Amino acid sequence: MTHTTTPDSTKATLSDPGGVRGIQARWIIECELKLESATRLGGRSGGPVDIPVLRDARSGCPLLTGSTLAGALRSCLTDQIVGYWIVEPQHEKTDEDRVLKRQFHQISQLFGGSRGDDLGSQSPLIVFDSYGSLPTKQDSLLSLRERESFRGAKADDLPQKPVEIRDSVKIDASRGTAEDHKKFDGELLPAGTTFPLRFELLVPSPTDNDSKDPPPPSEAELLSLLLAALNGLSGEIALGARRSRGMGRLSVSKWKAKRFDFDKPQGWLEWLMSDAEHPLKSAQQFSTAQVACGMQSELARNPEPVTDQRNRVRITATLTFSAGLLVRSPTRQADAPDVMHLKSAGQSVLPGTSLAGVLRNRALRIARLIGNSGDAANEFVDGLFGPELSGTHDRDFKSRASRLRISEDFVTGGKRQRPTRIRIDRFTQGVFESALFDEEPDCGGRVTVTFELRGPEPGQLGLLLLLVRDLLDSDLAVGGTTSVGRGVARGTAELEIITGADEQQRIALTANSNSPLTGTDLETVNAEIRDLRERLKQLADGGAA
Amino acid sequence: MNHSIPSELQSLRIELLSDTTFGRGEGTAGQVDVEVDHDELGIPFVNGKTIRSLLRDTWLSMQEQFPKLMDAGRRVFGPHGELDETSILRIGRAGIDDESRRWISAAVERNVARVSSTTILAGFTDIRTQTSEDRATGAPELTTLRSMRVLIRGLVLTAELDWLEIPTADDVRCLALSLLGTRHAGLCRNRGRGHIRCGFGTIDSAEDSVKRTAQWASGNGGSPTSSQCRHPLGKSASGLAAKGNSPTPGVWYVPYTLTLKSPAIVTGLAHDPNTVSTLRYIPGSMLRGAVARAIGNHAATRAQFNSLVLGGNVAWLNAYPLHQQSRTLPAPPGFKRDKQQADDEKRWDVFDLASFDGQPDETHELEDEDGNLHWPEESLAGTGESFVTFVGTPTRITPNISARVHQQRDRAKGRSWTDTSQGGEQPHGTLFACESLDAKQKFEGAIQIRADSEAHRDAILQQVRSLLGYSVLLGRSRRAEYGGDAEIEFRPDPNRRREWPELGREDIPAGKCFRAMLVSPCLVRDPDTGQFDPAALRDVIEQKFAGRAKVQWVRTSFETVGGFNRKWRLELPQTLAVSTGSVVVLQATADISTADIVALENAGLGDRRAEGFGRFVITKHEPNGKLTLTRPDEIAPPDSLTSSPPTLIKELQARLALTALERAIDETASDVARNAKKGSLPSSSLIGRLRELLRDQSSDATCSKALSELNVWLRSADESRRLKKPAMDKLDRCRVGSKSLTSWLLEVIDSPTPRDLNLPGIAARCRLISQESSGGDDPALAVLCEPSSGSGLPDSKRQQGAAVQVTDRQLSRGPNWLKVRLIDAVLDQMALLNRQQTRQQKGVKS
Repeated sequence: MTHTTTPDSTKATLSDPGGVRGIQARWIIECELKLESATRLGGRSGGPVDIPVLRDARSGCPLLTGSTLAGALRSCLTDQIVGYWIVEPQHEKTDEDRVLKRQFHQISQLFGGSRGDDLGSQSPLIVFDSYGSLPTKQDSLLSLRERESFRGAKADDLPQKPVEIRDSVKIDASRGTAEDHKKFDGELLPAGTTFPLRFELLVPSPTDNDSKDPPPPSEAELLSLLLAALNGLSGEIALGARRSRGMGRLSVSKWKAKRFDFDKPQGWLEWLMSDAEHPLKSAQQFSTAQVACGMQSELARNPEPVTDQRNRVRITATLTFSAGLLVRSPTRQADAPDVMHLKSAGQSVLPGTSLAGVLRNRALRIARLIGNSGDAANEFVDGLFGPELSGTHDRDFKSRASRLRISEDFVTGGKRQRPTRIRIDRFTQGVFESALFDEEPDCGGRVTVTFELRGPEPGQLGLLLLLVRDLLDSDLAVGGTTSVGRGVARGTAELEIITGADEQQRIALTANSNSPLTGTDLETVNAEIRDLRERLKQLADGGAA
Repeated sequence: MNHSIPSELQSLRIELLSDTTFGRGEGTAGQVDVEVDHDELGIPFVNGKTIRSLLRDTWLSMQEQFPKLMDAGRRVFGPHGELDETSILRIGRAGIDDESRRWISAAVERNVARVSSTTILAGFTDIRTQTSEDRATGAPELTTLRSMRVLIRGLVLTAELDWLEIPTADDVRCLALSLLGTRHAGLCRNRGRGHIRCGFGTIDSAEDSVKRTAQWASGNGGSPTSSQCRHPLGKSASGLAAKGNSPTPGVWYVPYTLTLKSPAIVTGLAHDPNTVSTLRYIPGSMLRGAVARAIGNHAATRAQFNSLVLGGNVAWLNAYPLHQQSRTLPAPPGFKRDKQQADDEKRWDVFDLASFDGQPDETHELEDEDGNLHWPEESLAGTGESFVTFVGTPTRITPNISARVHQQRDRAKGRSWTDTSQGGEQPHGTLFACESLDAKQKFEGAIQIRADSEAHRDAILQQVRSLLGYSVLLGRSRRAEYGGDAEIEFRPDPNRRREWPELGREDIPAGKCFRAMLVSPCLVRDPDTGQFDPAALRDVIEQKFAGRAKVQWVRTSFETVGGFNRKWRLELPQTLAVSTGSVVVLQATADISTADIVALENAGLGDRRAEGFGRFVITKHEPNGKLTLTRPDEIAPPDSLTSSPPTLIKELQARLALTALERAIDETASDVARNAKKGSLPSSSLIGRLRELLRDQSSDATCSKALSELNVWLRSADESRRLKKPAMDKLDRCRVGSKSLTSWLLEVIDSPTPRDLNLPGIAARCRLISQESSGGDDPALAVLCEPSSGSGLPDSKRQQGAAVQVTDRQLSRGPNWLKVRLIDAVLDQMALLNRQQTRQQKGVKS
């Protein structure tokens, strides 16, 4: 069919009600994310384990979705700007509401309108899906056959560590033993798994003066927000499930950045001709995002600092388990012991879930003792550790994440021993037939555990201090076979009270027998304990939760 | 295909670099909240409107930096909502390649062991779920769990680029820049999904596509005109083999066939402003409009315009669905079925109300002893918008219609466009639904030519053919996805002097009843008032026969007709017309000759006859009372294809086979566990101990290791390596059918492939590739049995398995994996039964 173009029609513009998305510049930022602890990025259930890892349907490799990462970054930036656990007010009734609204609007300029905001805008930040690589096995972990096959191979060519499967049980607090039918298992990505991350920031062009729409954020504003969010990847952000129990810890490195100036045709052409999959393949790597971006633009060298509103308390404890530590894990080899201490990524590990379980149990006892009320103790402990899941039977149940984050760390310097034990008949004091068993605890290992209380409420730090004291005093045992002395630790700790970006108070904590607290440190700790007592009393008296 | 343009510029290629959701605006109940767009075979596609909008968005963002290409941008993308349609590019639907589609079609439509379209869709896709986090609690927010289907990355889709004019180098450069800049599409495109790579080329041009597109974008691509240029309308001659040059004036009918190559919105009247409905046929006025547009508004062509468009010499008659080389007709409104008959029944017993005189009957019988017909007393229902054939067995045809939801986006805000004209943002007018005739359907119409001679007739037809070319765009939204892109084929017959020659013709003697049946809507006016009045049909017909026939009764219905004049940019007045298929039964009062009948038919009735309105035929009045309308049998496609299957089909085959296998394992495991004797199940701790061995199922090698260890546990002579006696006793006590669990486990370990799994049966359920096309082996079965030592398969099958293995995908499993997976699933089911039993004993609700 032929077609005739009329002269008038060529003058018509291409504009339509959809408008134009003016773009001033495009930033591409890449880095490498490395998991520092086991991570559960859960996929759909089904198959041999209860909670499988999310995998790419094409290649089968671990998948970190852009939505997961973007959600974590948004949450981190929101924590920084408005503080922990603060939600956006629906109405602007007070000055505080107005300030909060403005702060949330600032966040939505980078991450787009929040869920349910029908009139919000899309995010100028594109966060890509990432396809992970499992870490390669260290030479010492190779089997004989593998060692033969991979003799002389480069480190990257060695076989990969498999995805881990970890068993979990629910402990009955009253009995201290596993509850029936509450065992479950799930896949975990081992520490060392890497994900290449990629972000693209589209800087909007300034709008005309006669435009009805509010002016878009400037490049400097967007960059400062983005860099603040990306900083969260260096310690603040954890990914996946059970991150308050130490899983999903990560680090980032190998930052690359490139700015394409879309105010010039050369900038457009440079971007258009770049590889869609690996646009920064040969770009230089830097240690931080700010340095990488700063090499591209003056705006990124001195970004406007984001006001930090986070209040948190961090206790870093160094524990030594001289009598051994045994968090049971099953074995598969015929010559393996019946039970052995849990390993992750080939190393002994103290799982945050075990530590949290023990601490919760002890916290309940302390709270009941101080508050003299079971319900008040339960409510208070739930506020700190999060309520126990009650399944779907209780319709009024509302889950809540734990305010206390407990790290999962590797146990170093310990030795694996394999003592043999046998069951004794209590009546005859003789041995049971075929009841010989062996165990493999990690003895003399040292581990640094971090407890972080985010947005603490009155009394919560006091309880945490009492728990840490018990831990340092060897009054609290972690893991299994505690009846034979395992799982008790001694060590030291340091308390940091962090308010905002700069204000910090550090207090060294030790076991009772060593240097006791004095001066302001003692006053601070005593004040927290007093707060705990008062809060529990309030709750027992029916005070506000 | 336009041969004047290099073939690489006639299609675009979309490669999915990440999982992508091209949503269809709805979910699938019980499966996903957001469904991907897919066709009736379950094959995903991207709507042409979506692609066009994506490219347009990209161009709008960059156009200011390329001022020299501004005009090219307008030519390629065209202004919004422009009636002049100055855009020279039409973008079709992006889908998989035709060969792969043919394979899937054969599997879905074959008569035996069909693969369902749902299964096909599942083979192309994965499902992602996500929740929102509540900031106040840090826990998942209630009611935010949602699931979304995604196309698995790696899929390549291609769309046809239809250049309506030879593009200039700038046009191609503009499009190439837009293609290179379009890197994100679909839902959640800012959150990892929908990362795409676009370029010119076909599915096979993976490496060249980006390189060549970049060259075109740099202006170094070459000339957009092919060296093999030939005129697209090179085929000449009218096709009417005129015998001599007879000066006889007369009326000829030239039938034409329209074959839709893409969906077409033949705009009908819709009641919802945001909904566009389609007619089930293609009105002649559409072709007339296409001819008018091609002639243009020039003084030099005024005579031609009058002759071809305004009804001087040519009338454009409606195109109705074609069934087995036979033009159908809209079902007459007098055809009524018993209301009890379901819509989808293959046979409908239909009452032809034109057979009845409308008199009630005292005997309540349809036909009395004298053979007189009486009005049926059943509850009657219409035949819907179906078409019928009157040649051979009466057949009921229903054109295939699809509906899609489109959304107008605000480019900057990345969400639905909202109206800001009245102050504040009003979220309305953003969603609209389009109904369209599906592609690959055929319609037949005719043009009526009044000419002074056969030479004159040939000249007119030659003009029409030249103006329309080989294909014609129809209806709305024809620069993307829709427009029909209908291939038009004239089938001239020098002896065709009647529109419906197959409906018999003979002289009508006085006193005999006959029928006048409308074959298109008819606009008639009241003789007294001059206003349109469909009820005036009776009088108009009688006037036509000039007293030689008297109307007995009429069986009519009315419909509203309208239209749109692009030149005036106005809708035509909507008026009531008599519907197609309406029947007037007349009785001749004098003899009526065949010549008179033909003259009456050729003249037509009422207004707008040049557009095809007012057509009728005179037929016999044969009061049958009842007739049977059947739906046509589905054409049986070949059971399988014998050529070598494309890579995409091999991948899809492997994915379907594995999905079927996983399901079969779970079903088998459930059966085995439930067959175990109650109370004899091993304890959960023992089951857990056994399952611990089977955990690492990442490769066939790890599975092999697990099986050999389990073998040692169950039958080693060394007691220290065997399971302890109490544990062995528990396994022996557990009865699975007629054997112990120990025996069952050993049997699975020892067998080449688990006997409980019917692998050939599973393969048959998901077979896309036949044994013939794969060289004698069954690829679906081979996928299930990856070549491996001890697989138990013949060598030929192992080799076939290797052939089916697909690079870069973990789509193959081995026999050891099969065994481990089955044993693990059975033990898992047993643990579940244990848990249920414990709960029942404790009286806890399961």
